[in-house]
Amino acid sequence: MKYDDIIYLLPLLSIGVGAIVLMLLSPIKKFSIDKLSWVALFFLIVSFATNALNFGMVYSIAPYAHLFSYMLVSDTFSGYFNSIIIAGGIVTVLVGTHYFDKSNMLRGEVFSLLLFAVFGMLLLVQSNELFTSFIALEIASISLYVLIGFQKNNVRRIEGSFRYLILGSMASIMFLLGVTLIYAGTKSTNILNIASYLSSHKTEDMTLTIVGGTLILITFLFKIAAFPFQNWSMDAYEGAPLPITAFMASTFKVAIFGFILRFVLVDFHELKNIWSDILFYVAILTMIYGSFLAIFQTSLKRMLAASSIVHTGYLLIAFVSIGSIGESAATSIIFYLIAYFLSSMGAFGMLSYIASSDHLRVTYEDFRGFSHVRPYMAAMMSIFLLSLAGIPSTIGFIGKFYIFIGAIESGYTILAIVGILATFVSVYYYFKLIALMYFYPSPEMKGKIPPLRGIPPLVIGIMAILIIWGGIGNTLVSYFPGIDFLIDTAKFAYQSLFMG
Amino acid sequence: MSSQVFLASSIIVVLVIAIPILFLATGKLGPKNKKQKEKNISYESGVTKSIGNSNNPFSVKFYLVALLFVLFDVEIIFMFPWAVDVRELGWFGIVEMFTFMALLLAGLIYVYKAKALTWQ
Repeated sequence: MKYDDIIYLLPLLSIGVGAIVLMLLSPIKKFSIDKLSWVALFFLIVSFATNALNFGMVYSIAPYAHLFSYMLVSDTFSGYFNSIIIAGGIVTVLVGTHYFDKSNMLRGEVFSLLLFAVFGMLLLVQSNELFTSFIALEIASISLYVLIGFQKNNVRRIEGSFRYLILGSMASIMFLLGVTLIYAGTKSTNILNIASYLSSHKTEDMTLTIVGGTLILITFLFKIAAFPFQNWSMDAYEGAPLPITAFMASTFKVAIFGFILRFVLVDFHELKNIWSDILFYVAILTMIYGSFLAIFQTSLKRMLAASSIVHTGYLLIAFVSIGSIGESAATSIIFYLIAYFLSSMGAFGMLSYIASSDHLRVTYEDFRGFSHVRPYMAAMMSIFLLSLAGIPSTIGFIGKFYIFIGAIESGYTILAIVGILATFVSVYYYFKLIALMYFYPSPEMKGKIPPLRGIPPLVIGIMAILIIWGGIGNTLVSYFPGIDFLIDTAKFAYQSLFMG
Repeated sequence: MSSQVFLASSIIVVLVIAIPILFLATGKLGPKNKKQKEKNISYESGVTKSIGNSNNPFSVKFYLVALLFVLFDVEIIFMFPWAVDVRELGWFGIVEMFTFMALLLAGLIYVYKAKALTWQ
């Protein structure tokens, strides 16, 4: 047994240990939410640091292959996604603690559940076998169901949680049926074995495997809230406490994409063209439906939830083009995920900070003249919205640019056109808020405005700087890691998938 | 597609469509509701006089204890095959089983600390 393999498992282990330690600490009265958040942060940062140890290498290793029988894999791809997921956990803890502290119904178990959710997501992008990924998916999902409905006396939270639980369980059943059919067809659940089976047999003999793969694809479309399966997301996102919504909308989506990219690129490499037709229409309908939904929302939280459906549509554009231009499409997805993560995490985090520090602001109208009251927050919010809308000089623009170029290169010009139209429409609902914040006088404020204090404004500021840096970094200072660096990392991640 | 696979999958499709239709049709096919008062009162395992309707608040403590029991029951189920093979599995098996037990024990400690087992 090699002892140095443990280094590849440390990110996973430290999160798992942290979740159990937090679970044991949470019933003790002496540990307030504030103290527990520091414990959670410690374990998350340890995990992030151990994950960063292997940064910059292209590698693919099955740690303790004998012990785990090749169920786990650790490669550049998983390292890349791990760092996004753990960063999502860190930002949620840093920004959310203020919110959890204010709404005193949320108790210390929140952090334990959050770490369990992160653990499930890390396992999901590292799993090399379908049952392991099912268990990982369930660990993450069940933690999220509980986190959404944690405030037991709030009807909306319970409703969102319950609806997500019922529909999510249906999706899980689809996944299990898909795994069963794939096992019946290929006699294996290990991704590498399935890939070698598929490449050595004719397509005509693989009906069961194709049906199974389609069922797993349906689970994937459900979890990322693509068109026919999007209805849960509005209720779940609206019902959840704001930091949890941020965590779900950005981080969970990243983890699901991490899993499905590995599944499609390695496993169903031979068959990925079969699904292009389905995904083509799903992408178009997702963008159109999400845009319509977002236009008519008056609540900001619902608007961001609806716009996250539109962003799913953009990601699906690149997913369709994987069939013909594998490497650049996969790279553009991996890059867009980090752009989307930064912008949506920032926007939701900002909302949750505003909700916890100011008096409650919910609708567009509540933000009328916000920049005169809180110039810093209004500026940060504008940066996140500009990045979500894909305005040049933000990271969101670069991400969209690569996705649309990839769609045109692979011959899906219609997808690129619909995507660009959806972007135009999105300018309406994002800029409405910016216009309301800046171009209208603020209503009379009662009482004194509480000053900016604590860590959340700092974290949000750092995220805003990263967004701008990802958009213009390289043109200002050469030889410093910027966009090219991120694209290269995404390419390495893609290459490491095919080393095993 | 081979004919066997086609046959099997078409049987599944027919069953998937037919069974829900049968379930829905039982209202029409089965015994008719004659609107008798005795038939419509809630059934409580032989208790003739029912206590209120089903929306009343009731204690969930029994359910908690039952849930926890199931958890450790399952642990025991896993321990039996392990106990039979423990000599062949050697130290690896012992370490693995004790890791599993430690994880469940952590859960038990949490349950104890969170006062889920106190009856008051």
